[in-house]
Amino acid sequence: MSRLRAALAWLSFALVALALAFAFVLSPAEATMGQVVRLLYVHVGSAWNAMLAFGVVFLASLAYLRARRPVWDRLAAASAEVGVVFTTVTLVSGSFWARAVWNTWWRWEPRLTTTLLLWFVYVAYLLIRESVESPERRGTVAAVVGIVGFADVPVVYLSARLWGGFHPASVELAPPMVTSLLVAVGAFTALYAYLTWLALDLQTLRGLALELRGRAEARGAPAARVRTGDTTA
Amino acid sequence: MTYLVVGYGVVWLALFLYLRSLDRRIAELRKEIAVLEAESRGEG
Repeated sequence: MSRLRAALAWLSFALVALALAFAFVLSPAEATMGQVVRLLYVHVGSAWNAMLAFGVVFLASLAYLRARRPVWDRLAAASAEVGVVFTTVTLVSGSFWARAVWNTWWRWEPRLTTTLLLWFVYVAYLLIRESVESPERRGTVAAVVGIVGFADVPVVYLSARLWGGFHPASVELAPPMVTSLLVAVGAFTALYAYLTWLALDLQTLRGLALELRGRAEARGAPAARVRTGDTTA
Repeated sequence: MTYLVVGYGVVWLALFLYLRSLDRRIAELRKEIAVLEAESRGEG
């Protein structure tokens, strides 16, 4: 298992290096936007994986409510955390791009606003998880939020088509740019899989630590706790 | 060009720091679990 994970880590880093080479060497600059168009690869790559991550949260939450197996709850939590990181990357890279082409860091327009809302929804999801003590109750509440929160994902996707705004709904790309974009999406997807695997490990260890602390407290022994930043107590 | 370079820099630095934070949190939890298991064996 650890070999498979190491292989996935190397694959992710190799694909990221390849994606950077494609973005900066193979892909041409764009006629009106110039060099800054190269932000497209990191922006779309992370946006695609944020959607994928929240799709996994949605499916894992449904599976948890159906089967009540803790692994689904842990997968949902892991994927939500990575999804928030990718949404942050999408917003930050988009903001740099906007500053270069729109001369502003932010516009309250449909695509940007619904994406920011998406970020808040899943940050709230993670905060709600931390605030519920009982594992069963936490799993149920989080699953409901994970399912309801997913409603914003299609809204983000369709927002530019439905309501217009400054953000383009779709763009026509030259063939080398399409290739570079596909490589970048592949690299970010491998990175998503690797980070989610690590985050799932973290969730599993948190569950085990919580159980051991409970047992230690039941024995009357003060549970030793290494400073982990782990707030589940 | 500045926005491109700084944008890429910020994004990859953030992803690197997140990866480091996952590694650190996993290592610390493993350490805590080892201590708790040792305590449990010692008392059992």
